[in-house]
Amino acid sequence: MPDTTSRIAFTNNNTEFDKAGVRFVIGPYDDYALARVVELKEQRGGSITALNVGEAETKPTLRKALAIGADDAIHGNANPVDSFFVASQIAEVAKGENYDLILMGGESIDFNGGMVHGMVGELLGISSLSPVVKLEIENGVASLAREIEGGKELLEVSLPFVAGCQEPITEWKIPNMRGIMTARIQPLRVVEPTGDAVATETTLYELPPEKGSIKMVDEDSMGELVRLLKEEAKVL
Amino acid sequence: MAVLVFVELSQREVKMSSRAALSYASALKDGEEASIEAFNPLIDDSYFSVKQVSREKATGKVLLPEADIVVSGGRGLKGPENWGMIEELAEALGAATGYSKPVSDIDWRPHHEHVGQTGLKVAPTLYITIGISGAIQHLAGVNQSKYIVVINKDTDAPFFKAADFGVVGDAFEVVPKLTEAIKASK
Repeated sequence: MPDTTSRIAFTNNNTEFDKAGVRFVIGPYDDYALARVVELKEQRGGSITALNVGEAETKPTLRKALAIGADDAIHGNANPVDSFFVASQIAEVAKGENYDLILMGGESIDFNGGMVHGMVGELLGISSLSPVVKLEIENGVASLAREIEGGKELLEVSLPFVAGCQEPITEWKIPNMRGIMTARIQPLRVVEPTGDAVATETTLYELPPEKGSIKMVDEDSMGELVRLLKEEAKVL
Repeated sequence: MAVLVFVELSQREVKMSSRAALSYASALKDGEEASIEAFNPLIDDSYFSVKQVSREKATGKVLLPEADIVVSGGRGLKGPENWGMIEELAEALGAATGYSKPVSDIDWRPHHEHVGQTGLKVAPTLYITIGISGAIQHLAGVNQSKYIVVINKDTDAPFFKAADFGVVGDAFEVVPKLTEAIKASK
């Protein structure tokens, strides 16, 4: 997804995101998922496959996932048109394999849909949970914590399942030099899109209105600030 | 920033959508009524691969996701021992409290109060920040707020560009004065 500091603009009559000059990165929530799964592998063994549905400019994200600790990477070569499409591509890949765990970010930072994990779970007929803030695995059963409004719930879930990850499940990992060098020469498996399962069509993108200019208040005039909040903003 | 995306749902049998609380008001057209059907599934334990072990929730205080007014603190507060003045201000306002990611990373406060891109997104009527510089990752979680007040001792803090009202000053001096002024105005 686009780096957080990207310039946001739209083309094609404001129906498409303008990718020109935009740097694509692993989303911060997906970074949590990747870091946690690398830790689980360090503790218990197993193998990690990184998968991304995106166009050519997203390939560096798969290289980075390999550098951080994924064993192999799959590039779902398609325009990620909407969440349902992305989920269907992920499910198609997963159907052919026997993944114990499918981890991803709880949401992306471009569309913030938070839907892909749920859809993948449904398409595969397995449970999905989000946002997962703690994840341990013992004997084929996962103990996890899910954040709820104002608190947490602790759950036990049998494998396999899908989890949308969120902080503080772990800390982000930075790839080391060796990881980066090996990742450069590892082959990426490319998978072409199957089907055209798209559920939505974006008809328009609209930028928010510009904020007016700021009103500065002197640090010794808190009475004045309260007055402004009461009378002008009418929020007190 | 928050971009509005207008979407059409294609011709599928089942359409489902959800919205964030407080994002916009519901409206039923005049004379319209939604039909409600009772649904009584017969499911036994074998259906469930997820078992709830326990649940804990903060009680009593104003909850962050629903709060109309939020007071947020950042690294400018220098340490968890200084949080008292934030709580006093919040209490005077009937507000919930939150904080920025650097504070979350060093564990000064419980994680469910982290506000920002990878934390909670809030959209209160009034968002007051103290000692937060306003990096874009924090803005991503709060820029839907109706009014933003920024208190920071650095005139160059980027947050001032996204604020409606700003105060340049030492938080340890300004916040208690603001709390006093609010109490005095009641």
